Amino acid sequence: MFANSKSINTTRTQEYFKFVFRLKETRLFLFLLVMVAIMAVLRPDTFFTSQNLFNILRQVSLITIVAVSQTYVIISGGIDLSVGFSLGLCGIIISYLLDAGFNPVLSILAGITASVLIGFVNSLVITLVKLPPFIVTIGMAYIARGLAFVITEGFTIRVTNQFVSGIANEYVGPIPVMTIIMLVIVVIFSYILSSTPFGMKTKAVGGNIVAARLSGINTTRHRILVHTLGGLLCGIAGLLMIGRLNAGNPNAGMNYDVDSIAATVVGGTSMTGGEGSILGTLLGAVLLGVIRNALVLLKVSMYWQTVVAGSIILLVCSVDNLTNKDRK
Amino acid sequence: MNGEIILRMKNISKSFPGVQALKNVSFDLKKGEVHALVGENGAGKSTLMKVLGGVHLADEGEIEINGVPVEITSPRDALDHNISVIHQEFNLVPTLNVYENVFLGKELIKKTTRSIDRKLMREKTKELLESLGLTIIGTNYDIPVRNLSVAQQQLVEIAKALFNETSILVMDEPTSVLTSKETEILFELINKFKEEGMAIVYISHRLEEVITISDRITVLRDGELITTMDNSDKNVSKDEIVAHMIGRNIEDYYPDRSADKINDDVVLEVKNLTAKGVFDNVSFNVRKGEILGFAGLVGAGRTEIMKAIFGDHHYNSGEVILDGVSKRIRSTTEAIKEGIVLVPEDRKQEGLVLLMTLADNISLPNTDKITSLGTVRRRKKTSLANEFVEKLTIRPPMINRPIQNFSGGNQQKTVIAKWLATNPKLIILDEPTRGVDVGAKSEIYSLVNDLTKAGVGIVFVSSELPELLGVCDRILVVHEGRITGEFRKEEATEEKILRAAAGMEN
Repeated sequence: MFANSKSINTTRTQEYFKFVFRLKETRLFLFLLVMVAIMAVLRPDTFFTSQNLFNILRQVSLITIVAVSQTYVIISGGIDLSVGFSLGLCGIIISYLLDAGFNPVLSILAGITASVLIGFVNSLVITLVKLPPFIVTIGMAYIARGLAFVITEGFTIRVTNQFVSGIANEYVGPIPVMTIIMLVIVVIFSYILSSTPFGMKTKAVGGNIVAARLSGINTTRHRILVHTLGGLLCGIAGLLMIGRLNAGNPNAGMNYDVDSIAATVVGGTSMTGGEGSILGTLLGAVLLGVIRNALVLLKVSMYWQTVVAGSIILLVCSVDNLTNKDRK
Repeated sequence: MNGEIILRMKNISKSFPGVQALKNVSFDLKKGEVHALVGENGAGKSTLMKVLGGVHLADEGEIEINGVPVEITSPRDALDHNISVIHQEFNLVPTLNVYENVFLGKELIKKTTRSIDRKLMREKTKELLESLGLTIIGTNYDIPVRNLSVAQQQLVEIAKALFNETSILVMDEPTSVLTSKETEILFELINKFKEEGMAIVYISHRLEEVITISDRITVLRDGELITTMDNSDKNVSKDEIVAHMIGRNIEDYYPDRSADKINDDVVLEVKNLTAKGVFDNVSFNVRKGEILGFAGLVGAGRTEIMKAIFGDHHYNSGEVILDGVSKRIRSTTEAIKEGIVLVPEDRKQEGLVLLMTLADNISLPNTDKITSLGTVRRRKKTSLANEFVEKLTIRPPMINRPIQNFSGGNQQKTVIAKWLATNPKLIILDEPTRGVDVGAKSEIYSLVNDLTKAGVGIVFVSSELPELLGVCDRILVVHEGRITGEFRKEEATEEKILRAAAGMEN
């Protein structure tokens, strides 16, 4: 936009600022700042402390990692309802193997591989059998959850491994390690989406799969890669989760599918695919986290939290749609 | 009464994102006349009639019926003003039968039971069609209309229009699906309607028919009214109409290829290509620097043949030989690597990712050229896009603008540009000028001509006969999946091509 404008009087810097201002992410960031400011005034002692703020970041870390996977899948034109139970199954496998005395490295690899496989199988069925992603991933979700129960027979497995516990609970200074891992993932995947051919092809496949194919993109291979990578992220999240809880719970991952979609959508990614932003997803997750935290500190009944979360989602997306002049 | 002006459309303007479809067009219609509306694809004919029919709302302008200004904001309004439109794409419900469709929305109800009076509807439909001398529906009033022939379906549409009291009838490309015999019957009907004082707008590409049936002929070009010609003596010349339609001398429109000597080197040879049920034993070759045309009726199989060569459609047997080497191309990625590219028939659905910008679309098959160290370099992307925007004069030259905001002609140039950047050996163009304005069409013809000078082989699939005759060195004709004719430029005529396209002997 700013590289090509014919304006005579505005400088390149001015064009850049105009561009940044119009971005969805900027609006979201401002909205977030407003929320934080309001809470800072209402609860300066409990909300606006570095401990609480980093707490929020840590709480949203897991969901953000899963949401990055979801965002990629949605941008590529699909959807993944198995993220939660894939994460859960990974955690169960790791904790089970650790408990049985296996080599920790191998245990972790085994768990993450399970999540990767789930993503891989999802994409195979979607592209080769041509079933809708919605149906495929729901089916996979049930299978994953069922397997988790089969393995544990319903019990929770304690996790005592130092490393696993460490990465999920330690801090580097004031910053939780889990948050650092999350931020690294966000930066890498944001970069991939915006600046690599892979990211560009993902948007093309989601934007118009027929045109993408007729432009020489191997759309089948691409979708498999996207889902498989997504599975890897879910696996990482599964590992972090059992570290956090110090336990492998077969029920884990319960709301992650819906929550990851919420963060993605609040972050400005379109459900129809073809466009989106990882940074936006991070902001979306943080915003939802801040609101949850605010409601707790304001002593609002827990039951209202979901109502508020749902309302925020509708509000942000409606504003997006109504102010988007480019769309017909 | 006949000869009075019944309809006046004054200073109608209408725009859509990226294109001004109508600019200040004024059009009037007299009782008892057939007024033809002609123009190239995208000239604005359908848009003008959609405004009249309440499908689109004009941005500016007024409509007067019988001297009284009216507001037509929905198809219902149009019907209330006794305007009936028979669209190019029929508005029939395929699963309902003849009389159900004829009475759609105006079903006859039995007074006693308040249920639909099928018997009466059937009777009245039969009465009407027979009174018009239309027996071609036979006794098929009860079968779903999707089982009727296209010509029969058209008659159902006409009956539908007549059951609504019609003073103004608009027919959009009524004969494109009819045989000449059926067209004659239609024309008799039209003359009958004229005598009864109906005013008829007749939109068609078939200029000979237009000259036969119409009293006045209005030409639109690029959304503007060019002229209204009087045709009461039925002797307006076809060349005159075409000259108005394209806005320039026909000699300057298509590039002169007589000076070009075509190499004997064959870039593509196709041998006995067969896909069961789709195309059969297709064989042809394309020389370097040659423009090979493909003519045929809609559904003849041309697009499928081209997609097969491009790796996007399966085939059971046959060979594709590129530069003398036999290749088995199984995907578009492979085709592009070998230097074969395809500009698809439907640019919005198949050729472009509308959400993306101009630069993005050009970059899509060219990521290798603009990537270094795994990253897409913005500067390289920009310079690649700018290079082709300039070469192909894409307007406006805003490479970061979403491609959906560009006009059809510029969108098409973008599709061509993305392929040119891959340095192809063979470019297949499927209906490249469909929905493109006159100026851009001419630019595309020049571009294609320039490409042949560089030794690129061109396959040009088109349903517009004048275009094929003007642009191509040789024309192949496809009928139901088989090649039924081959004509060199000097010997080709519209009639010969049409006969081969219909499967008739020449």
